[in-house]
Amino acid sequence: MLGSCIEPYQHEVIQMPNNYLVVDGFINTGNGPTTFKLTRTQNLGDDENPRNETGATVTIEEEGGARFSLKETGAGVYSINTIPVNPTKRYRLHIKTSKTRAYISDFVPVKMTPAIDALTWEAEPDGLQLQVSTHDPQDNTRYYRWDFEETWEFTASERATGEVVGDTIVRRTAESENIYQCWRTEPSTSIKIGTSSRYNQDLISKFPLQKLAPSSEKLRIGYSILVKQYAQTQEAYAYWEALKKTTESVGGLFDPLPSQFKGNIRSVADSQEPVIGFLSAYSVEQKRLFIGRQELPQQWYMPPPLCQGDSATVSMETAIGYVKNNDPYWGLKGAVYGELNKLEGYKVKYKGCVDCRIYGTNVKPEFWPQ
Amino acid sequence: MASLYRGILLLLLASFCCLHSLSAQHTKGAPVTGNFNNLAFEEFVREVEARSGYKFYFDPAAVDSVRVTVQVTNKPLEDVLAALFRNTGIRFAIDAQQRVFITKGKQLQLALPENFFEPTPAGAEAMVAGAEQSDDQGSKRAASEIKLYEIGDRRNNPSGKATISGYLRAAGTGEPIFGASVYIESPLIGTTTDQSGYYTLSLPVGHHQLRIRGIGMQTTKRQVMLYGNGRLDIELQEDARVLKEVIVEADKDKNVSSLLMGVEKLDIRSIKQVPTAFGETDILRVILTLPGVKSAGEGSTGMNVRGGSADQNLILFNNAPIYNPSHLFGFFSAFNPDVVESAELFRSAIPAKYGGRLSSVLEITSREGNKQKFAGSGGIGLLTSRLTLEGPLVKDKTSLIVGGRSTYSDWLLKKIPDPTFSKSTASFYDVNALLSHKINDNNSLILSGYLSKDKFRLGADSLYTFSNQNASISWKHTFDEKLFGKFTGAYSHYGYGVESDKNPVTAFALDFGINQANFQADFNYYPTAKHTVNFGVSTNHYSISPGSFQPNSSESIVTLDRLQSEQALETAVYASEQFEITPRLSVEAGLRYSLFNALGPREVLTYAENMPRTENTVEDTTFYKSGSPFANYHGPEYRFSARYGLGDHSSVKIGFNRLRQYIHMLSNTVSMSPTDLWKLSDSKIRPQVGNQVALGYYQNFKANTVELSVEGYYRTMRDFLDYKSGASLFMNHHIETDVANAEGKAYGMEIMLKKLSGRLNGWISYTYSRSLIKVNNPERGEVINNGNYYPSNFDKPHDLTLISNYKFSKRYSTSFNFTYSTGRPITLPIAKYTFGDTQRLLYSDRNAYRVPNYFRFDVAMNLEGNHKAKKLAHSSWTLAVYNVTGRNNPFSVYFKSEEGKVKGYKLSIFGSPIPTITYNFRF
Repeated sequence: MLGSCIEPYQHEVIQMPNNYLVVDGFINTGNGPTTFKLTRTQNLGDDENPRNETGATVTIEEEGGARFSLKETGAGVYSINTIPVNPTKRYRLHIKTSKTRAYISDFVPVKMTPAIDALTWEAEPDGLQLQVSTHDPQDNTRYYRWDFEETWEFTASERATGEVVGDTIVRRTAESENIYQCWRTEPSTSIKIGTSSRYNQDLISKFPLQKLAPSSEKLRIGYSILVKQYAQTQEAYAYWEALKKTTESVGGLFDPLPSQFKGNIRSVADSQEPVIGFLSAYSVEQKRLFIGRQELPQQWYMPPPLCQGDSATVSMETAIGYVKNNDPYWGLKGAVYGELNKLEGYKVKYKGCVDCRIYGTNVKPEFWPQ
Repeated sequence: MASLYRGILLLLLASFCCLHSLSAQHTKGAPVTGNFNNLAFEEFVREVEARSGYKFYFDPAAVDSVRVTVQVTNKPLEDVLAALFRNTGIRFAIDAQQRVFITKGKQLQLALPENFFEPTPAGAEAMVAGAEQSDDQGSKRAASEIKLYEIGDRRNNPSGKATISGYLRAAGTGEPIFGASVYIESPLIGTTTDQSGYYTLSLPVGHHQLRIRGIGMQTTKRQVMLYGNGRLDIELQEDARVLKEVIVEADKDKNVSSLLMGVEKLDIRSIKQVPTAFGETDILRVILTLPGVKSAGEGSTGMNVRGGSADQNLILFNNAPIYNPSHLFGFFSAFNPDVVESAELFRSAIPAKYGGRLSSVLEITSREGNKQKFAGSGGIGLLTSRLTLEGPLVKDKTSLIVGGRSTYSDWLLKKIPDPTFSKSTASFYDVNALLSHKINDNNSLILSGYLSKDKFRLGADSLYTFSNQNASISWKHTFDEKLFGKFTGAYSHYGYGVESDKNPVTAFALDFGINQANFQADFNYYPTAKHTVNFGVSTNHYSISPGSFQPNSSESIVTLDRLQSEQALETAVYASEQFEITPRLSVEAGLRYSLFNALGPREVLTYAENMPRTENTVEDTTFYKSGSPFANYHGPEYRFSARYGLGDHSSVKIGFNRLRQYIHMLSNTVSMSPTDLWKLSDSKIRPQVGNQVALGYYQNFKANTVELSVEGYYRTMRDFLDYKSGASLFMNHHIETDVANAEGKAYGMEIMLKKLSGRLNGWISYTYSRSLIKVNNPERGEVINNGNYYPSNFDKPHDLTLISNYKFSKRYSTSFNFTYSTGRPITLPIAKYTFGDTQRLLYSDRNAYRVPNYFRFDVAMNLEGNHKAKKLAHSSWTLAVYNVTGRNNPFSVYFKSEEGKVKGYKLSIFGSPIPTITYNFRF
């Protein structure tokens, strides 16, 4: 009846000569290392990975005090082990690129993050709601940001029956490498921020962090979430809020308009040059939650994944070739026997159907319950 | 004979020179002045006795059938009575002691000249015309079409030109008919009636066939022998097929001859012909088809007039301002079409009596209830139903009209594939009531009330409600023939609330409210025929509670947070004079002086000078006690317009105006949303000031039935508000830290060709316009797009609109709409980057790109029931198809990070043809 619709929109690639500095990281005021990743923006149509900013000089300056230099530990990744942070001082970031273009941030205060009180979950009719609760008895935090990492157990859709040992294919045994049961870990992709600024206590109660549909593959066998909590300044909170608004909820009738906005890092030579990122100094608190399948409502049963892909029966040589050359498509299922148990060849299938390592790791994480 | 007077006795008296010359022959008593509308003879007598030294003597039974409707100024009583009793068999006599003797059949003989009733005064002949014709449709009306009316004194002014004027009224209801054409065919001379149904026409003396054509009225004619200036009031029969939805346009000759520029008056009849998305007549949506009026998109009723923002329009409903003119996310306008009489939009030359907004004034007027008989109307549509009842409380004196509307729209929301909508619920209702009371000929009173309420729940979470409440009283008083006054008191309330109770620990209720009390006195003074003076005074008291945020459950840990309330007083005095220097050249100059005081109680923050305003730059806090002004602004607002007639059918006009606005809407969403905040000027937020110059050329063709207008304008605006990037407007205690002062300029050209009568009617308009904004206050940290001008959200340079209606027969007509416009500007992503494991977007300068162009075509068919004048109820069906071509007009284009990838989306609100059917009835 009503033709309201949302369609994909392919607009002509806007080719602009843009190549701006992206500063991703924070000053860790707790015990962990401080790491900054420097990259460059790309055109929308660019399929490559973002270009790393290598060979830069990155230092952190204490207001009226010491400077700490960061070392490039990977391409575009600059790190330093624990900085002896003075919580009463302010800090800022200096970056000089290999092309000697200098960038500087504002001074930012040190925030100490309170511990997470609880991670909880509720089975709601439309899915699993994960929630975080925290409070700051000092009443110093008020603005919070969270990241999380989800890990879940899954299986390949079919068990492989054969494996390549030396130059032949043999039947799998209990000692064979497990390629059926795996774990997958993914970081959060959306910005989660919350504030208690409107409450009479610095308390966050059951902030909704993540919602999973009852049919989510993540809940099929076992699910774990690691939540990291960061205390934010009001300015940092505003930056993340603006970033969230302009990149996650734009275009609805009542959504805010997107627009350019500035962080607290700028080019020394040209204050108009866009620089992406916002320097903050805080410590990190984290907590992990595990949810087993048996804790969830019965009716949320999720069948194992179906194999969707081609299969073929090939000679042993061909099958071994696929495995040894790590063929991107084909994986070995096992021997095929016809009438009278006559070996007819070897079945190969789309790799994702028989080898769970395509999607995750077969190494059980340390935190996974026995 | 007395039966003739069962209906209204319409007396057509004016300043006939013939009557004056006649009266010179006699020694007459004190003249009578007054507006007597449909009075019983005894009431009339009391009025006259109260105002003069006359004393009446009569038998009430002899005059019980006489009703008096007459407007007289300094008229001898003899003349008034002569006209009144013409053809009734009632006689009168007046003696030297000013005693009036009324008798039936035979005149009481006093010492008066024998020839008192001879010859018949020509004016009196005309007086009876209305009476004869009002009585019955049949033969009498036909008779009046062939009857020769003599206007003016035949012994006077035998050659040259004379002026004939009078009122056009609907038989039965007595409602004035505006926008009707009154003309003669050879030579072609014509005019149209104004809002009160008044026309005036200057014709060569001699015999004429006066033709009268009004949409919705049966076309008629009158034979006139014009000797001199005179008056002819005409009653018209309603055209049965029109079913109440009468009347179009007051603009015909006005287009060329009036001083006004950029004014469009639409009556409900032409509004009803325009197909809409949900089959319900929508006044605002039709206003949006006028040149120079745009909106951010479908599903948004925020108007942008000549490049101004949505808060720059003063929307008056029966004199009371309406803050949110829409229902249901903007898909419906807040005005019930059955109750509305007309909508008038001033966008160029805004009369001095209006002020307080920069871009336009939209005045929406309710109908008065039927003063003769009980009647009703209504409609049943796919989403809404409505019912209106009206009738006299005291016949011919007091009438009431009450209309209501409600919706059952939840089912529709379920159909929208956007989960935000499909999980939602929404409903609204509105109620209108208008009481009109005629105290006497010099005093009338109108009381109006309006209530609307909307309720919706978006995405099964928070419940939103918003409500308009308005009440107004206006008293019109005639001091004398030259001075008229109107005194208006109005009260407006707009409020919204948001409630959430999903998590009892964080359950909250948020409220916003604005109250405005207004008093206004307007005077019109006509010292001579060439001068018109308007003057008046108005005062507005505003009180805003900008927000309170409070716990909504016993467990809730939400703390009560209340933004400081705001109070202010806005006062203005104005005067303007219209001067007709020559028939070709007329000018109007006006001055409005407005004064604004922001009043305590209030805590006012002082920020470090020349620093970005943030919480960290607060230097001081001052407290102002209740009623003490802490910020004052005042300034003149100039209004000037001039007209030069190039001929009888064309003219050029020029206008300049300055306006000041002290109340601002804060919004950072594309469409006008119910939760937008209104904010008064204070020590940080300066009033908006706008200037506009406009130049126009106007030409009418074919007896003023086709009119062309070409208008160009240039506007500047300063100190309107734009938001800083990522601004937070929610429960913000120091909103000045999140908004930026913007400067704007807008210019454009509007061409419109209009035909409002005949089988084919409608209009076609083309507009070229630009609307640009600049924000450049580096010392305050307010710079957008490097301080350069950028297009506003509603900058759509090209706009072509066709609205048309073709009548195949009396019962069957078809409407076509066609709209094309440039896509509105948007801010597009120009680069992507990876940040915190997710790909995100870097956006371009604000509004640097545009969405695809907009195109839409709608069709509607109206089928009327049969046209027997006497039947229980008249009904009609409207079948309409909105967006026939099913074009997916983008409402917006946006990009989202999903699963770590950037995806672009286009949102269309009406992406396929939308058929609707509506049943309307009237009884």
